[in-house]
Amino acid sequence: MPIAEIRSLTKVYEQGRLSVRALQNVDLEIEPGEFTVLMGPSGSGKTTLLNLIGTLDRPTSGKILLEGRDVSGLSKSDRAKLRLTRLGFVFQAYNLLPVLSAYENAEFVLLLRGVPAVERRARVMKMLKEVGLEGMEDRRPNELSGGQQQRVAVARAIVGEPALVLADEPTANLDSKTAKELISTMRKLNEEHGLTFVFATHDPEVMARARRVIRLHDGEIAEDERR
Amino acid sequence: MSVLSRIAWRNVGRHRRRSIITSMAMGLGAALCITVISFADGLGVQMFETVVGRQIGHAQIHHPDYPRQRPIYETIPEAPSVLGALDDLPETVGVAPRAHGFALLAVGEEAAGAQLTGIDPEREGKVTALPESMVEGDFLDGTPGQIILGRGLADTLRANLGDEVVAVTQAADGSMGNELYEVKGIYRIGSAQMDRAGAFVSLDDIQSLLALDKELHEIALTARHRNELPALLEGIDRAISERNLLVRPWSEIDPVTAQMLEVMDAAMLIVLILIFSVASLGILNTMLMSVFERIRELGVLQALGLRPPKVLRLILWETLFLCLFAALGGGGLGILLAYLLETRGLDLSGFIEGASYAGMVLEPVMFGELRFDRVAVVIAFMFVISFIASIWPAIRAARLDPVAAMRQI
Repeated sequence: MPIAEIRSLTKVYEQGRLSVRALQNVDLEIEPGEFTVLMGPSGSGKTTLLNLIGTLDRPTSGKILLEGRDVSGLSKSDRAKLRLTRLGFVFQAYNLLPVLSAYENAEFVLLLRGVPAVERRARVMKMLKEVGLEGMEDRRPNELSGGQQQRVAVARAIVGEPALVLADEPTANLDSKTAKELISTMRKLNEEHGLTFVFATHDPEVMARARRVIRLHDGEIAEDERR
Repeated sequence: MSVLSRIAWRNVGRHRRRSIITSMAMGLGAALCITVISFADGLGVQMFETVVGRQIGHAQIHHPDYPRQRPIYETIPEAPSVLGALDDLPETVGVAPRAHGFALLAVGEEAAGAQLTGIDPEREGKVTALPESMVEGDFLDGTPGQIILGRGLADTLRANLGDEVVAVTQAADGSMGNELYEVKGIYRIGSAQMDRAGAFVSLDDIQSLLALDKELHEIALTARHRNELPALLEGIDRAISERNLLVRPWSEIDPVTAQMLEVMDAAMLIVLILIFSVASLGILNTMLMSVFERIRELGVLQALGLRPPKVLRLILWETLFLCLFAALGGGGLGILLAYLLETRGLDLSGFIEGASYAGMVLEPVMFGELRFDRVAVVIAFMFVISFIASIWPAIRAARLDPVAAMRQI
């Protein structure tokens, strides 16, 4: 069963008297273990599609099924619960909580889920080690470099073992070397743990490592290439 | 500590100066309220003690026709047996018989009209604090021929301890009664009228002066505690219900003081609301600023799966921490000020020397009354007002659209 099934998805933004069609009749399936990149020029709809799959936004029409469950009509609260339990997010601007340490940021999702302390600690420490942040657990975000902050964000996204990790321009704020290292880490997690990643990006380095590249143009899928 | 409370705690610490200023505003409001209420309670206690504790007692019994014009011949029928029945009441700690008359008092060349009250000194001490109100000399000891004068009356008569006082009055039988007393002491009970024109002699002396035989005008009773007055009234009713007598609580005898005390309670509530309404604007401002500054962060929290009710709780946790600081600081300061007011008093002699309020002579040093139930009410009120002020910012935070919020810089 696909992790995400998107059927005739349309998203229209109303801006005053103007209607902007960000996505139009998109059909798409994401299978478990994919390392997929959504690419396209600015305004092509890739972030909109990512937000819709991530239940951060609601479609104007069409359906989104996550693990077979239609999530298009869920309430705000139910969508939040779904994100907490089944989805992981990595944002362009890291978006770590500045008042929490690296450890606490990574732990946050597990705390909200009510995972017992012992298990929580083991999982967070393992994940921080996997993303190369061993020994930096107590640092606050302002004491970490951009690359390190994004690694904390990756640890936070995957520590809850989500069905799907959605990453919106995760390397956009990083230098090329750091970006390369980050993508390698995520690719490794994909290969070793079978984690499913969907990226929205312009970064050729990410595209080069992708196993599937979906090109969007004016809100429609122009090309869907599997490698 | 839950994850929400931990984040809230750190958010409060993030803008330390702003948090301190907000907590200080709330705390100073609480301290001010506690102090003002303590001052007003002290004034209330003084009023109650002056009127009830030193004059009226908790309840009084009269002939039904006596209170309106106080004619000296309207006495309590069969007073000794009434007194005996009341003495057996378990609800009272003291029963004091009294007789009243108006007399012309003269000391040497000076003369003044006075309200003369006859009392049983020993019994009176169990009902009122009159024996403790002596400012010169001693209280009556039951020896015939003694008189104690109010401070103002003594000054008018230029009377000193040991002076002879001539009393002239019309007795109940229509004859002219006159007697010679010796000034045993001078009192000040805080009542403008009783200090300026009041005097006390023994019950036997006034009964002799007014030709009252063993008759009484008034019986004053005191309950074990102010709150047990209803039980005392029930007890009195049980003991003398078959007799045609008028039984009244102090609040009916002096409705002005009773109303003043009630009005003071209402005034305190208004002061409380006013002070905290102003201080709550500080909380509202802080929480709104805190939400607006963190819109992006709150959007991230929601994107990660923090449900709207928990976002609301996060903001309320922050309010709780601010309130706790305010309660500790403000409550502590308020208790300290109220304690100082209670133990050392506030010397207002330069402003209110000799002034009176509702017939009560104001003490030049005003004492407060520290009541922890009042402190608890003030602190609870502060929490409630603060939470009300935080609800709007909290709802705004909970209603944020995560996508739009994360776009904010």
